[in-house]
Amino acid sequence: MKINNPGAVLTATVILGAVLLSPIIVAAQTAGKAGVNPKLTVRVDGLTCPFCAYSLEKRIKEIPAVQHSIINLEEGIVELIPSKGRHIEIDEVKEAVIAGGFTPRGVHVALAGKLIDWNGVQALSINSTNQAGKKVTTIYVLKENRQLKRLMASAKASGQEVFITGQASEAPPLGHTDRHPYLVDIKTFQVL
Amino acid sequence: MQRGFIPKLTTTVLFSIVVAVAQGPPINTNTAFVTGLNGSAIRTFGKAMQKTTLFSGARVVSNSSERAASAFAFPVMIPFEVIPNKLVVIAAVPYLSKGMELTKNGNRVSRDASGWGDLKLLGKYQFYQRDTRRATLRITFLGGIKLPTGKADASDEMGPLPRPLQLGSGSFDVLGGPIVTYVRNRIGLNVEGSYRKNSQAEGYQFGDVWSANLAMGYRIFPKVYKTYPSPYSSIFVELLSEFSGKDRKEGLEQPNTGKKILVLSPGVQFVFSRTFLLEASLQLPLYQYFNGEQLGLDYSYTFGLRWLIF
Repeated sequence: MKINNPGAVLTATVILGAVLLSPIIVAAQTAGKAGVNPKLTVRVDGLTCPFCAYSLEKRIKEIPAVQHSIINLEEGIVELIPSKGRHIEIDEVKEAVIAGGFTPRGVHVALAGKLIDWNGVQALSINSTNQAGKKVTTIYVLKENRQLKRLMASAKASGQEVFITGQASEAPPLGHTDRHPYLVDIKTFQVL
Repeated sequence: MQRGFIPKLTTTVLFSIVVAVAQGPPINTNTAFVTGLNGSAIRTFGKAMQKTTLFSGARVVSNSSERAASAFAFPVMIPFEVIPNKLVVIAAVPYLSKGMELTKNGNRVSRDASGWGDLKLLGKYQFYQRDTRRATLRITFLGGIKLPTGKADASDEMGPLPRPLQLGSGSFDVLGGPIVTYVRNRIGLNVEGSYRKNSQAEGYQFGDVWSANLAMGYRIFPKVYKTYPSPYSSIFVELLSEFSGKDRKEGLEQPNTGKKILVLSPGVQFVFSRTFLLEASLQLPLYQYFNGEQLGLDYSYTFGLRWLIF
Protein backbone atom coordinates (compact mmCIF):
# COMPACT_ATOMS: atom_id res chain seq x y z
CA MET A 1 0.00 0.00 0.00
CA LYS A 2 1.30 3.43 -0.94
CA ILE A 3 1.30 6.08 1.67
CA ASN A 4 0.38 9.36 0.06
CA ASN A 5 0.62 11.50 3.13
CA PRO A 6 3.11 10.27 5.72
CA GLY A 7 2.52 13.38 7.84
CA ALA A 8 -1.17 12.63 8.21
CA VAL A 9 -0.44 9.02 9.14
CA LEU A 10 2.03 10.15 11.79
CA THR A 11 -0.48 12.64 13.18
CA ALA A 12 -3.19 9.96 13.26
CA THR A 13 -0.83 7.55 15.00
CA VAL A 14 0.04 10.13 17.65
CA ILE A 15 -3.66 10.94 18.23
CA LEU A 16 -4.56 7.24 18.40
CA GLY A 17 -1.67 6.61 20.77
CA ALA A 18 -2.73 9.49 22.96
CA VAL A 19 -6.31 8.18 23.05
CA LEU A 20 -5.11 4.68 23.92
CA LEU A 21 -2.73 5.91 26.58
CA SER A 22 -5.13 8.40 28.11
CA PRO A 23 -6.61 6.06 30.75
CA ILE A 24 -3.16 5.23 32.05
CA ILE A 25 -2.11 8.88 32.01
CA VAL A 26 -5.27 9.95 33.81
CA ALA A 27 -4.77 7.13 36.28
CA ALA A 28 -1.20 8.18 36.80
CA GLN A 29 -2.30 11.70 37.53
CA THR A 30 -4.93 10.43 39.91
CA ALA A 31 -2.35 8.40 41.73
CA GLY A 32 -0.16 11.44 41.99
CA LYS A 33 -2.93 13.47 43.53
CA ALA A 34 -3.73 10.67 45.97
CA GLY A 35 -0.17 10.49 47.25
CA VAL A 36 2.29 7.65 47.18
CA ASN A 37 1.55 5.87 50.42
CA PRO A 38 1.99 2.11 50.11
CA LYS A 39 -1.05 0.16 51.20
CA LEU A 40 -2.44 -3.34 50.93
CA THR A 41 -6.17 -4.02 50.82
CA VAL A 42 -7.51 -7.55 51.06
CA ARG A 43 -11.09 -8.61 50.54
CA VAL A 44 -12.14 -10.98 53.29
CA ASP A 45 -15.08 -13.32 52.83
CA GLY A 46 -17.11 -14.45 55.82
CA LEU A 47 -16.39 -11.22 57.65
CA THR A 48 -19.91 -10.79 58.93
CA CYS A 49 -19.76 -10.74 62.67
CA PRO A 50 -18.09 -8.13 64.84
CA PHE A 51 -17.78 -10.67 67.67
CA CYS A 52 -15.37 -12.79 65.66
CA ALA A 53 -13.42 -9.98 63.97
CA TYR A 54 -11.25 -9.78 67.08
CA SER A 55 -9.33 -12.88 66.00
CA LEU A 56 -8.64 -11.34 62.61
CA GLU A 57 -7.43 -8.09 64.16
CA LYS A 58 -5.19 -10.03 66.53
CA ARG A 59 -3.57 -12.01 63.69
CA ILE A 60 -3.14 -8.90 61.53
CA LYS A 61 -1.43 -7.09 64.39
CA GLU A 62 1.05 -9.96 64.65
CA ILE A 63 2.44 -9.14 61.18
CA PRO A 64 5.58 -7.14 62.04
CA ALA A 65 5.48 -4.82 59.00
CA VAL A 66 1.94 -3.62 59.69
CA GLN A 67 1.78 -0.20 61.31
CA HIS A 68 -1.95 0.34 61.08
CA SER A 69 -4.98 -1.66 59.98
CA ILE A 70 -8.62 -0.88 59.32
CA ILE A 71 -11.24 -3.64 59.31
CA ASN A 72 -14.27 -2.59 57.32
CA LEU A 73 -17.08 -5.05 57.94
CA GLU A 74 -19.57 -3.34 55.69
CA GLU A 75 -17.31 -3.71 52.66
CA GLY A 76 -15.69 -6.92 53.85
CA ILE A 77 -12.19 -5.54 53.41
CA VAL A 78 -9.11 -5.00 55.53
CA GLU A 79 -6.67 -2.16 54.78
CA LEU A 80 -3.09 -2.46 55.95
CA ILE A 81 -0.57 0.36 56.14
CA PRO A 82 3.10 -0.65 56.46
CA SER A 83 5.57 0.90 58.85
CA LYS A 84 8.11 3.25 57.24
CA GLY A 85 10.75 1.30 55.32
CA ARG A 86 8.86 -1.96 55.73
CA HIS A 87 6.96 -4.03 53.20
CA ILE A 88 3.87 -6.13 53.94
CA GLU A 89 4.09 -9.56 52.30
CA ILE A 90 0.80 -10.71 50.76
CA ASP A 91 1.37 -14.31 51.86
CA GLU A 92 1.68 -13.22 55.49
CA VAL A 93 -1.61 -11.35 55.22
CA LYS A 94 -3.39 -14.33 53.67
CA GLU A 95 -2.09 -16.62 56.40
CA ALA A 96 -3.25 -14.16 59.06
CA VAL A 97 -6.74 -13.96 57.55
CA ILE A 98 -7.06 -17.75 57.47
CA ALA A 99 -5.74 -18.13 61.01
CA GLY A 100 -8.16 -15.39 62.07
CA GLY A 101 -11.05 -17.52 60.84
CA PHE A 102 -11.87 -16.06 57.44
CA THR A 103 -11.22 -16.52 53.73
CA PRO A 104 -8.90 -14.12 51.87
CA ARG A 105 -9.93 -13.19 48.34
CA GLY A 106 -8.71 -10.40 46.07
CA VAL A 107 -5.72 -8.31 47.08
CA HIS A 108 -5.26 -4.72 45.94
CA VAL A 109 -1.83 -3.18 46.36
CA ALA A 110 -0.36 0.31 46.29
CA LEU A 111 3.40 -0.09 45.94
CA ALA A 112 6.44 2.12 45.53
CA GLY A 113 9.51 0.51 43.97
CA LYS A 114 11.92 0.36 41.08
CA LEU A 115 10.97 -0.88 37.61
CA ILE A 116 13.29 -3.61 36.46
CA ASP A 117 13.59 -6.24 33.79
CA TRP A 118 13.31 -9.53 35.66
CA ASN A 119 14.03 -12.66 33.65
CA GLY A 120 12.67 -10.94 30.56
CA VAL A 121 9.50 -9.60 32.16
CA GLN A 122 8.70 -6.23 33.59
CA ALA A 123 8.74 -6.24 37.35
CA LEU A 124 8.71 -3.99 40.34
CA SER A 125 11.53 -4.38 42.83
CA ILE A 126 10.86 -3.20 46.37
CA ASN A 127 13.66 -2.78 48.84
CA SER A 128 12.74 -2.83 52.51
CA THR A 129 14.02 -4.01 55.85
CA ASN A 130 12.68 -6.98 57.73
CA GLN A 131 12.06 -7.26 61.46
CA ALA A 132 15.70 -8.08 62.11
CA GLY A 133 16.77 -4.91 60.30
CA LYS A 134 18.13 -6.87 57.35
CA LYS A 135 17.61 -5.50 53.84
CA VAL A 136 15.26 -7.60 51.70
CA THR A 137 14.02 -7.28 48.13
CA THR A 138 10.53 -8.27 47.02
CA ILE A 139 9.70 -8.72 43.34
CA TYR A 140 6.27 -8.15 41.80
CA VAL A 141 5.78 -9.22 38.20
CA LEU A 142 3.84 -6.61 36.23
CA LYS A 143 1.13 -7.95 33.98
CA GLU A 144 1.88 -7.39 30.29
CA ASN A 145 0.37 -4.10 29.34
CA ARG A 146 1.19 -2.60 25.96
CA GLN A 147 0.07 0.88 26.87
CA LEU A 148 2.14 0.81 30.02
CA LYS A 149 5.13 -0.45 28.05
CA ARG A 150 4.90 2.49 25.67
CA LEU A 151 4.43 4.95 28.49
CA MET A 152 7.38 3.49 30.32
CA ALA A 153 9.49 3.78 27.20
CA SER A 154 8.37 7.32 26.52
CA ALA A 155 8.90 8.34 30.11
CA LYS A 156 12.15 6.41 30.28
CA ALA A 157 10.73 4.93 33.44
CA SER A 158 12.78 1.75 33.42
CA GLY A 159 15.09 1.72 36.40
CA GLN A 160 13.26 4.61 38.01
CA GLU A 161 11.24 4.73 41.21
CA VAL A 162 7.54 4.36 40.45
CA PHE A 163 4.30 4.12 42.37
CA ILE A 164 1.71 1.67 41.14
CA THR A 165 -1.67 0.47 42.24
CA GLY A 166 -3.46 -2.64 41.03
CA GLN A 167 -4.85 -6.07 41.70
CA ALA A 168 -2.34 -8.68 42.80
CA SER A 169 -2.66 -12.38 42.10
CA GLU A 170 -0.37 -15.35 42.50
CA ALA A 171 2.03 -15.94 39.62
CA PRO A 172 3.30 -19.49 38.90
CA PRO A 173 5.90 -20.78 41.38
CA LEU A 174 9.58 -20.20 40.72
CA GLY A 175 11.29 -23.39 39.54
CA HIS A 176 10.86 -26.24 41.96
CA THR A 177 10.38 -24.06 45.01
CA ASP A 178 7.18 -23.09 46.79
CA ARG A 179 8.10 -19.44 46.38
CA HIS A 180 6.05 -17.54 43.90
CA PRO A 181 6.00 -13.90 42.98
CA TYR A 182 2.78 -11.93 42.75
CA LEU A 183 1.49 -10.61 39.48
CA VAL A 184 0.12 -7.09 39.52
CA ASP A 185 -2.51 -5.96 37.04
CA ILE A 186 -1.73 -2.25 37.07
CA LYS A 187 -4.56 0.18 37.49
CA THR A 188 -2.59 3.39 38.05
CA PHE A 189 1.04 4.23 37.44
CA GLN A 190 3.22 7.17 38.40
CA VAL A 191 6.91 7.91 37.89
CA LEU A 192 8.25 9.40 41.10
CA MET B 1 -50.48 -32.34 75.29
CA GLN B 2 -50.70 -28.97 77.01
CA ARG B 3 -53.65 -26.96 75.71
CA GLY B 4 -52.65 -24.15 73.41
CA PHE B 5 -49.23 -25.59 72.75
CA ILE B 6 -49.59 -25.81 68.95
CA PRO B 7 -50.85 -22.19 68.56
CA LYS B 8 -48.07 -21.00 70.88
CA LEU B 9 -45.42 -22.90 68.96
CA THR B 10 -46.74 -21.73 65.59
CA THR B 11 -46.80 -18.12 66.77
CA THR B 12 -43.29 -18.43 68.11
CA VAL B 13 -41.88 -19.92 64.94
CA LEU B 14 -43.59 -17.34 62.76
CA PHE B 15 -42.46 -14.56 65.06
CA SER B 16 -38.94 -15.92 64.91
CA ILE B 17 -38.92 -16.06 61.13
CA VAL B 18 -40.40 -12.59 60.68
CA VAL B 19 -38.35 -10.82 63.31
CA ALA B 20 -35.27 -12.92 62.59
CA VAL B 21 -32.76 -12.97 65.31
CA ALA B 22 -29.31 -11.66 65.96
CA GLN B 23 -25.99 -11.49 64.38
CA GLY B 24 -23.71 -12.46 67.20
CA PRO B 25 -23.09 -15.35 69.55
CA PRO B 26 -26.46 -16.46 70.91
CA ILE B 27 -27.05 -16.38 74.64
CA ASN B 28 -28.28 -19.89 75.39
CA THR B 29 -27.48 -21.75 72.18
CA ASN B 30 -23.92 -22.51 71.22
CA THR B 31 -22.45 -21.00 68.08
CA ALA B 32 -20.31 -22.86 65.57
CA PHE B 33 -17.68 -20.12 65.62
CA VAL B 34 -14.40 -21.04 67.24
CA THR B 35 -12.82 -17.60 66.87
CA GLY B 36 -13.16 -14.22 68.54
CA LEU B 37 -15.36 -14.19 71.60
CA ASN B 38 -15.88 -17.91 71.21
CA GLY B 39 -12.22 -18.75 71.07
CA SER B 40 -10.66 -16.62 73.74
CA ALA B 41 -13.22 -14.93 75.98
CA ILE B 42 -13.97 -15.86 79.56
CA ARG B 43 -17.70 -16.14 79.82
CA THR B 44 -19.77 -16.01 82.95
CA PHE B 45 -23.40 -15.47 83.66
CA GLY B 46 -25.98 -15.90 86.34
CA LYS B 47 -29.00 -18.08 85.73
CA ALA B 48 -31.92 -18.00 88.12
CA MET B 49 -34.73 -20.53 87.96
CA GLN B 50 -38.06 -20.74 89.73
CA LYS B 51 -40.35 -23.78 89.96
CA THR B 52 -43.64 -23.65 91.86
CA THR B 53 -46.15 -25.33 89.54
CA LEU B 54 -46.79 -29.03 89.90
CA PHE B 55 -47.34 -31.03 86.72
CA SER B 56 -48.62 -34.49 86.05
CA GLY B 57 -47.80 -35.27 82.47
CA ALA B 58 -48.57 -32.02 80.65
CA ARG B 59 -51.32 -31.03 83.11
CA VAL B 60 -51.04 -28.64 85.99
CA VAL B 61 -52.23 -30.33 89.16
CA SER B 62 -52.91 -29.18 92.67
CA ASN B 63 -49.74 -28.46 94.59
CA SER B 64 -51.24 -29.19 97.98
CA SER B 65 -47.92 -29.39 99.78
CA GLU B 66 -46.83 -26.10 98.14
CA ARG B 67 -43.69 -27.66 96.78
CA ALA B 68 -41.28 -25.16 95.31
CA ALA B 69 -37.76 -25.25 93.99
CA SER B 70 -35.32 -22.58 92.99
CA ALA B 71 -31.81 -22.61 91.64
CA PHE B 72 -29.12 -20.09 90.88
CA ALA B 73 -26.24 -21.11 88.68
CA PHE B 74 -23.14 -19.08 88.04
CA PRO B 75 -21.08 -20.93 85.42
CA VAL B 76 -17.59 -19.80 84.49
CA MET B 77 -16.30 -20.86 81.08
CA ILE B 78 -12.71 -20.47 79.96
CA PRO B 79 -11.91 -21.32 76.33
CA PHE B 80 -8.47 -21.82 74.86
CA GLU B 81 -7.74 -21.83 71.13
CA VAL B 82 -5.62 -24.91 70.41
CA ILE B 83 -5.63 -24.83 66.61
CA PRO B 84 -6.49 -21.42 65.13
CA ASN B 85 -9.96 -21.39 63.63
CA LYS B 86 -10.24 -25.15 64.12
CA LEU B 87 -10.16 -26.36 67.69
CA VAL B 88 -11.04 -24.74 70.98
CA VAL B 89 -11.01 -26.47 74.34
CA ILE B 90 -13.24 -25.16 77.08
CA ALA B 91 -13.28 -25.68 80.83
CA ALA B 92 -16.60 -24.88 82.45
CA VAL B 93 -17.62 -25.12 86.07
CA PRO B 94 -20.72 -23.68 87.74
CA TYR B 95 -21.19 -22.26 91.20
CA LEU B 96 -24.62 -23.48 92.28
CA SER B 97 -27.15 -22.53 94.87
CA LYS B 98 -30.16 -24.84 95.00
CA GLY B 99 -33.13 -24.89 97.29
CA MET B 100 -36.46 -26.65 97.74
CA GLU B 101 -39.41 -26.12 100.04
CA LEU B 102 -42.60 -27.92 100.93
CA THR B 103 -45.22 -27.93 103.63
CA LYS B 104 -45.24 -31.12 105.69
CA ASN B 105 -47.62 -31.67 108.60
CA GLY B 106 -48.35 -27.94 108.65
CA ASN B 107 -44.69 -27.01 108.85
CA ARG B 108 -42.72 -25.35 106.07
CA VAL B 109 -39.62 -27.39 105.40
CA SER B 110 -36.73 -26.11 103.34
CA ARG B 111 -33.51 -27.72 102.23
CA ASP B 112 -30.69 -26.22 100.25
CA ALA B 113 -27.16 -26.67 99.01
CA SER B 114 -24.57 -24.37 97.51
CA GLY B 115 -21.05 -24.73 96.15
CA TRP B 116 -19.16 -25.66 93.01
CA GLY B 117 -20.79 -28.13 90.65
CA ASP B 118 -19.33 -30.59 88.17
CA LEU B 119 -16.49 -29.56 85.89
CA LYS B 120 -17.00 -29.95 82.15
CA LEU B 121 -14.09 -30.29 79.76
CA LEU B 122 -15.21 -29.65 76.23
CA GLY B 123 -13.68 -29.55 72.79
CA LYS B 124 -15.17 -27.68 69.86
CA TYR B 125 -13.90 -28.63 66.42
CA GLN B 126 -14.86 -26.80 63.25
CA PHE B 127 -15.02 -29.18 60.31
CA TYR B 128 -16.83 -27.08 57.72
CA GLN B 129 -16.55 -23.46 56.74
CA ARG B 130 -17.90 -21.73 53.67
CA ASP B 131 -17.36 -18.00 53.40
CA THR B 132 -18.87 -15.69 50.86
CA ARG B 133 -19.12 -11.94 50.76
CA ARG B 134 -20.74 -10.80 54.02
CA ALA B 135 -21.99 -14.30 54.78
CA THR B 136 -20.62 -17.45 56.35
CA LEU B 137 -21.73 -20.99 57.09
CA ARG B 138 -19.86 -22.98 59.72
CA ILE B 139 -20.40 -26.41 61.23
CA THR B 140 -18.67 -27.64 64.36
CA PHE B 141 -18.88 -30.55 66.73
CA LEU B 142 -18.93 -29.86 70.43
CA GLY B 143 -18.15 -32.77 72.71
CA GLY B 144 -16.68 -33.49 76.06
CA ILE B 145 -16.86 -35.05 79.46
CA LYS B 146 -18.42 -34.05 82.75
CA LEU B 147 -16.32 -34.91 85.75
CA PRO B 148 -17.79 -35.63 89.20
CA THR B 149 -16.12 -32.67 90.92
CA GLY B 150 -19.27 -31.39 92.60
CA LYS B 151 -20.35 -32.81 95.94
CA ALA B 152 -22.87 -35.60 95.34
CA ASP B 153 -23.38 -36.93 98.85
CA ALA B 154 -24.33 -33.80 100.81
CA SER B 155 -26.78 -34.15 103.65
CA ASP B 156 -28.47 -31.98 106.23
CA GLU B 157 -30.19 -32.65 109.57
CA MET B 158 -32.96 -34.49 107.72
CA GLY B 159 -30.53 -36.86 106.07
CA PRO B 160 -29.01 -37.11 102.60
CA LEU B 161 -30.23 -34.46 100.18
CA PRO B 162 -32.35 -35.68 97.24
CA ARG B 163 -30.32 -36.30 94.08
CA PRO B 164 -31.64 -33.26 92.19
CA LEU B 165 -30.54 -31.04 95.06
CA GLN B 166 -26.99 -32.33 95.08
CA LEU B 167 -24.36 -30.07 93.50
CA GLY B 168 -22.87 -32.85 91.40
CA SER B 169 -24.15 -36.03 89.80
CA GLY B 170 -21.24 -38.09 91.07
CA SER B 171 -20.83 -39.63 87.63
CA PHE B 172 -18.58 -39.33 84.62
CA ASP B 173 -20.84 -38.33 81.75
CA VAL B 174 -20.11 -37.75 78.08
CA LEU B 175 -21.85 -35.30 75.82
CA GLY B 176 -21.63 -34.12 72.25
CA GLY B 177 -23.45 -32.81 69.23
CA PRO B 178 -23.24 -30.68 66.11
CA ILE B 179 -23.69 -26.92 65.83
CA VAL B 180 -24.54 -25.10 62.61
CA THR B 181 -24.23 -21.34 62.29
CA TYR B 182 -25.18 -19.19 59.33
CA VAL B 183 -24.64 -15.45 59.41
CA ARG B 184 -25.58 -13.04 56.66
CA ASN B 185 -25.27 -9.32 57.14
CA ARG B 186 -27.32 -8.43 60.23
CA ILE B 187 -28.98 -11.80 60.65
CA GLY B 188 -27.60 -14.89 62.35
CA LEU B 189 -29.04 -18.38 62.66
CA ASN B 190 -27.71 -21.07 65.00
CA VAL B 191 -28.91 -24.64 65.39
CA GLU B 192 -27.51 -26.99 67.99
CA GLY B 193 -28.23 -30.58 68.87
CA SER B 194 -26.65 -32.51 71.71
CA TYR B 195 -26.85 -35.77 73.58
CA ARG B 196 -25.59 -36.43 77.08
CA LYS B 197 -25.03 -40.02 78.14
CA ASN B 198 -25.17 -40.17 81.91
CA SER B 199 -23.50 -42.96 83.79
CA GLN B 200 -24.23 -44.53 87.13
CA ALA B 201 -22.69 -43.39 90.39
CA GLU B 202 -23.46 -44.71 93.87
CA GLY B 203 -26.34 -46.77 92.48
CA TYR B 204 -28.05 -43.80 90.85
CA GLN B 205 -28.13 -42.88 87.19
CA PHE B 206 -29.70 -39.72 85.81
CA GLY B 207 -31.64 -40.16 82.58
CA ASP B 208 -29.88 -39.42 79.31
CA VAL B 209 -30.60 -35.99 77.89
CA TRP B 210 -31.30 -34.93 74.31
CA SER B 211 -31.47 -31.26 73.55
CA ALA B 212 -32.07 -29.20 70.43
CA ASN B 213 -31.80 -25.44 70.30
CA LEU B 214 -32.54 -22.88 67.65
CA ALA B 215 -31.38 -19.29 67.94
CA MET B 216 -31.92 -16.41 65.60
CA GLY B 217 -30.35 -13.03 66.02
CA TYR B 218 -30.65 -9.60 64.50
CA ARG B 219 -28.32 -6.66 64.94
CA ILE B 220 -30.55 -3.76 65.88
CA PHE B 221 -27.86 -1.10 65.77
CA PRO B 222 -25.93 0.17 64.02
CA LYS B 223 -27.80 -0.40 60.79
CA VAL B 224 -24.49 -0.25 58.94
CA TYR B 225 -21.55 -1.64 60.87
CA LYS B 226 -18.64 -0.04 59.12
CA THR B 227 -15.35 -0.15 61.00
CA TYR B 228 -14.37 -2.68 63.62
CA PRO B 229 -14.52 -2.19 66.56
CA SER B 230 -17.74 -0.25 67.05
CA PRO B 231 -20.43 -0.67 69.71
CA TYR B 232 -23.41 -2.72 68.60
CA SER B 233 -26.45 -4.45 69.95
CA SER B 234 -28.36 -7.54 68.91
CA ILE B 235 -31.64 -9.11 69.88
CA PHE B 236 -32.28 -12.84 69.97
CA VAL B 237 -35.14 -15.26 69.92
CA GLU B 238 -34.21 -18.78 70.94
CA LEU B 239 -36.20 -21.98 71.12
CA LEU B 240 -34.69 -24.41 73.61
CA SER B 241 -35.86 -27.96 73.93
CA GLU B 242 -34.81 -30.79 76.20
CA PHE B 243 -35.88 -34.40 76.45
CA SER B 244 -34.59 -36.38 79.38
CA GLY B 245 -35.18 -40.02 80.15
CA LYS B 246 -36.11 -41.53 83.49
CA ASP B 247 -33.51 -41.77 86.23
CA ARG B 248 -32.59 -45.20 87.52
CA LYS B 249 -31.90 -46.20 91.10
CA GLU B 250 -30.29 -49.58 91.62
CA GLY B 251 -31.35 -50.34 88.04
CA LEU B 252 -35.01 -49.45 88.61
CA GLU B 253 -36.67 -46.61 86.73
CA GLN B 254 -37.80 -43.79 88.99
CA PRO B 255 -41.42 -42.81 88.25
CA ASN B 256 -41.25 -39.06 88.90
CA THR B 257 -38.28 -38.35 86.68
CA GLY B 258 -37.77 -37.54 82.99
CA LYS B 259 -39.34 -34.71 81.03
CA LYS B 260 -39.91 -32.97 77.72
CA ILE B 261 -39.71 -29.21 77.72
CA LEU B 262 -39.77 -26.46 75.11
CA VAL B 263 -38.77 -22.96 76.15
CA LEU B 264 -38.93 -19.61 74.38
CA SER B 265 -36.07 -17.29 75.21
CA PRO B 266 -35.94 -13.70 74.03
CA GLY B 267 -32.71 -11.88 74.80
CA VAL B 268 -30.59 -8.84 74.19
CA GLN B 269 -26.86 -8.30 73.87
CA PHE B 270 -24.70 -5.18 74.07
CA VAL B 271 -21.13 -5.05 72.87
CA PHE B 272 -19.38 -1.94 74.11
CA SER B 273 -15.86 -2.61 72.95
CA ARG B 274 -13.81 -5.30 71.23
CA THR B 275 -13.30 -7.14 74.52
CA PHE B 276 -16.51 -6.80 76.49
CA LEU B 277 -20.06 -8.00 76.01
CA LEU B 278 -23.15 -7.88 78.24
CA GLU B 279 -26.20 -10.04 77.67
CA ALA B 280 -29.51 -11.00 79.25
CA SER B 281 -32.34 -13.33 78.36
CA LEU B 282 -35.61 -14.61 79.76
CA GLN B 283 -36.80 -18.20 79.45
CA LEU B 284 -40.52 -18.90 79.35
CA PRO B 285 -41.85 -22.44 78.99
CA LEU B 286 -44.07 -23.08 75.98
CA TYR B 287 -44.60 -26.76 76.62
CA GLN B 288 -43.76 -29.05 79.52
CA TYR B 289 -44.42 -32.75 79.95
CA PHE B 290 -43.31 -34.70 83.01
CA ASN B 291 -43.30 -38.36 83.87
CA GLY B 292 -45.31 -38.76 87.06
CA GLU B 293 -45.61 -35.63 89.20
CA GLN B 294 -42.85 -33.04 89.04
CA LEU B 295 -42.39 -29.34 89.49
CA GLY B 296 -42.40 -27.45 86.18
CA LEU B 297 -40.50 -24.35 85.23
CA ASP B 298 -42.25 -21.06 85.96
CA TYR B 299 -39.52 -18.96 84.40
CA SER B 300 -35.81 -18.49 84.40
CA TYR B 301 -33.53 -15.69 83.35
CA THR B 302 -29.89 -15.20 82.61
CA PHE B 303 -27.61 -12.19 82.66
CA GLY B 304 -23.93 -12.29 81.98
CA LEU B 305 -20.79 -11.05 80.37
CA ARG B 306 -18.01 -12.23 78.08
CA TRP B 307 -14.58 -10.79 78.43
CA LEU B 308 -11.79 -11.33 75.92
CA ILE B 309 -8.53 -11.94 77.68
CA PHE B 310 -6.15 -13.62 75.23
